[in-house]
Amino acid sequence: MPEGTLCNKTPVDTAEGITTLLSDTSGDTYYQEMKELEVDSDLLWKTIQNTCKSRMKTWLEICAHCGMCAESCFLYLVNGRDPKQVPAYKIQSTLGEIIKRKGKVDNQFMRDTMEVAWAKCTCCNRCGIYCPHGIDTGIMFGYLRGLLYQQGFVPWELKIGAGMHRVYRAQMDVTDADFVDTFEWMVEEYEDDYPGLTVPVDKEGADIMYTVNAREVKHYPEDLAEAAILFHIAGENWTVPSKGWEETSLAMFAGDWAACKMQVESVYDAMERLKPKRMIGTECGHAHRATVIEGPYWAGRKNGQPPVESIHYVEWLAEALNTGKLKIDPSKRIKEPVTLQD
Amino acid sequence: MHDLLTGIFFWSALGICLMGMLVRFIMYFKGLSWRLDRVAYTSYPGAGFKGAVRSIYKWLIPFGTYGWRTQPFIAVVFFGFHIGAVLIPLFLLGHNLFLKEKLGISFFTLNAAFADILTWTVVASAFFLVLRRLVLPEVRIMTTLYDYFILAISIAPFVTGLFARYQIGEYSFWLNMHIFCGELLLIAIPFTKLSHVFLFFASRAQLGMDFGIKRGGMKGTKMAW
Repeated sequence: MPEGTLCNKTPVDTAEGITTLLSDTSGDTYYQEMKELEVDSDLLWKTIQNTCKSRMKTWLEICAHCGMCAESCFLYLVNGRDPKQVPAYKIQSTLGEIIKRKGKVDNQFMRDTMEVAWAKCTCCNRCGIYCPHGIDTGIMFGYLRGLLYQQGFVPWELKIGAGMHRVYRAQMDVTDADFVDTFEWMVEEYEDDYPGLTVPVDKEGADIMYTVNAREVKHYPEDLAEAAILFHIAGENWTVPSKGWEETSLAMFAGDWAACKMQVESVYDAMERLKPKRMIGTECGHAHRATVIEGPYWAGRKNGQPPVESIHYVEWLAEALNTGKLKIDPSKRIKEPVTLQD
Repeated sequence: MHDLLTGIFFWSALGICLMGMLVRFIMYFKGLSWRLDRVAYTSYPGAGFKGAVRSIYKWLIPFGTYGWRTQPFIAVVFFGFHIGAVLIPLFLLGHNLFLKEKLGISFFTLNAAFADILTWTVVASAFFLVLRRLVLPEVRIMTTLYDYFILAISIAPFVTGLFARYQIGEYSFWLNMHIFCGELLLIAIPFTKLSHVFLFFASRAQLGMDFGIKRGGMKGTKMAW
């Protein structure tokens, strides 16, 4: 059976391709075509043999089927403690099955597995913390997503998202020019309130290189101004790169490891060009995970570190408050107890 | 029969168990890959080691981690089973006398009454382990015949041991059964899920290194991953 025009094993890597996929409302045609998508069992098994080693193999083998992971999984808890939501069950019935059958699984199985991998796990890693053996089902689902993506069994939105990174090096169709123009425009809007407010672009040797989420440029441009204002008030020597300015990775959600590598390399290139003391990422946990924690490994960096020390925006803010670079008017402090959702 | 069981069978079972454990333990660490696992194992050995040790010892302490504290019932049953399951084979007087005779070495020995209490706790805990497999839906959905088989192999030496210890029925028969079951258990360890006897330490060490190096350990967090 030939592959579909929208649903196939080939990643989207042109702007036209993205537009075509996007125009298929809700992915209706895409999912219709997916029902006919063939499973390349040889490729699947070969990939597993090359990439599934000690850690994961042992996890799948020594799982004692004790069910302690159940209570740790919020999806299990919010779905009325449905036994099918137990993390160990979820992974054993998908990845575990694929491995038992040496990749010989059918289209229906892969579509069901896609549902579990993306709708029944957010890779939050909580189960790994509650398992006596330290079996991290979240990591295994990340791995499984990669296998599914390779075979073309990926949710429509994420095929588009991974394509965005391949074409724009950003999670949305925002060009480098769009980014710089929008940032400069937003800063202009607040110049009167904060005299001297600027956004230095491509400044070399700054203390801080700031990277953002393309969503901010397209939908929440005032976020850019607010970041500039805080850096300005704190007296920071900062800059933004005109290329490699986007920190997120929908490619990571999609399991498109090649695109993940391309994406983080654009940011690391910017670090190497501009040589800042530190990179501060916008307030986006997945961006931090992708670019600072996992990224170095995708880019083949053995020490697991980006070229430059990189922190999350909240860490910078805490530091600025603790060192007095930013001061809060005591009368404006919140009096009620506050809880932080992590 | 008794001579066979305490002779060639004993040496084979012990040899297979120890060799098997060693080989699999080494193969486990050899199969770790910084690139595939995405953990910079060798770049931060200090942080990795600290994380590994912390991860292991916290889980060995009853209620030492959030995992144990949030699920007290399974925690009690787990430790009830495993404390005896580890201490009895190693430190029972009868076993040490046997070891002294065979290998010339012996470990310290447990007080006899304490050993009895431990063994009965193992048996009672095993009963609850089986019960929860039958009764709890989140455990039942994953339980297979293999899980019951593993439980059976593990508990057989204790049950047969108790028959011999209380001299119920024919002593020499139950003693031989006990030795046979024990040797079956030893041989099963490297080849079945019972490999967790040593792979628990390997797997925990790996996750401890992962968290110690990559997921917050180097930022000074003291959370017990």
